[in-house]
Amino acid sequence: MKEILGLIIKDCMTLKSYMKTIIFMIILFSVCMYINGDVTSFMPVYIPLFFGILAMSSFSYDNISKSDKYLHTFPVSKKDVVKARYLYVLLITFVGSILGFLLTIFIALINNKVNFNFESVLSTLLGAVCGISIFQILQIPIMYKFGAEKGRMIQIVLVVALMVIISVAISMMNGFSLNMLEKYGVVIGCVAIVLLYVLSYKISCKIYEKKEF
Amino acid sequence: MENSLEVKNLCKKYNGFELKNVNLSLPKGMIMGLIGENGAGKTTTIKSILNVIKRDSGEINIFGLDNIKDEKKIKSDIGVVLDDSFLSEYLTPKDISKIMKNFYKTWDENLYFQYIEKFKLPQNKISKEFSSGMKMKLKIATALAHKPKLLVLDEPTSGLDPIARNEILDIFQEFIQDEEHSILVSSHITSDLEHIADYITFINEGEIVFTKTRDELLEEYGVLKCAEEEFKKLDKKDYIKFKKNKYEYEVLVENKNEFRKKYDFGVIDRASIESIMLIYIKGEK
Repeated sequence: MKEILGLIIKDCMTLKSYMKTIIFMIILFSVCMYINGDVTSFMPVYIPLFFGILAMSSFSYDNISKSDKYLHTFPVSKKDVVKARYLYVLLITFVGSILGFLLTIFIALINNKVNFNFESVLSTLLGAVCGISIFQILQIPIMYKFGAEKGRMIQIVLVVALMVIISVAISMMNGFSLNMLEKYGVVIGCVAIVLLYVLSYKISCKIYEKKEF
Repeated sequence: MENSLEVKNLCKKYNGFELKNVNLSLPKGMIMGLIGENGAGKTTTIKSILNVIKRDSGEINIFGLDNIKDEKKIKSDIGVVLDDSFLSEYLTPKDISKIMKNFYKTWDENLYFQYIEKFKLPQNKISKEFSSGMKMKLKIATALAHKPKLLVLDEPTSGLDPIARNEILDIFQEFIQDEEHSILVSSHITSDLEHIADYITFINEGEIVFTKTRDELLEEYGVLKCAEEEFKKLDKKDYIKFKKNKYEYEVLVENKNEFRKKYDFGVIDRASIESIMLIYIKGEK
């Protein structure tokens, strides 16, 4: 368990060097949204999306320093390395979602032009997280299979596909009231995504176990 | 004498390269140097020992345990320096300690920072800004800080200036003083191995050419320098290989004293590890 924590800390600390860019991007998003005024439909999408993609950069960092080979000289199993990566990606996406949610509310409150609708923010956020999850579920095994370099090319295609998925998901969710979503969609959606994450993790483990460095 | 490391009939086949029946034994308290040209199989041997790559056949025991079955237990007691692989360069030495203590129960923060200080590495600077010598020192400090019983080092002195190399070699020698610790080190800087290694293993084209004690090598092997007419008088079975230079022949001889008794021409020098390796690889028979 402690080894997994060590691996997550490793990824978090590597991200730390990127902190200035992250803060700059968040401020940029926020200012744009403040000026634009349509904060509720963009902010809950862009911030989690930004974090969700940012989390994937851990593959590139490992690739540059060829860390995988070094990690395998530690008393750590390959399974733990994969598990830690999934947990890290989920953690960063979660942080991004919370931040996106809070920032949306914050900007909406200080920007009087905005017609603030709590339910619509929440359903947009849910749609975005759902889209990011699907992206990660597909992308992580691809990164393990093809490596960070080729994987990144595939990532570009996936991001475009993701944009489409999100916009479709959001438009579908806006059709429902949140009550209906709570009753049916959210539960089924959450269960499906959790199951898909587990499946994706299992596939990644299989790929990674076979890899030699 | 108990062995820290035993490799028996190790085989590993790649596209275009094959490690063939590699055998090694490294007794406790000893340093073994692995020499050979680039692509000879040094790194493949080391990677197989660390189970970073899967062997095709053979047996590897570390501290008397199988390196796959008891992988986790074994790896807690091994410190590793790899030539081309480490943690991200966006981490500072301080970050590295915070990460590493999660992997090793025996991680000694004080010892780590003692090395960091000794090597004059800035604690709060990312290692991307370090010189290659500093980067190597950081790897070595990281490998030593959990007090391993076995150090496995792949080219640990490459990129270091002579002063820094000396410093590092002293630390390695200090490390084995208690007779429990051992080191397996690959290097193409053969003079470093001449200083510290107790055993020299020479690997060429995926096969072990020999394992000998350093003293055996340096005292028994010799290089005869002679002219062509003298060379022609030599019996083929009396030398290992020869290399024809512009003005003279260099002949590698396994036992220079015996050789001296039989032939009384030319100059026989002590063979350095470098010249042994060179004539073996580049020479003819």
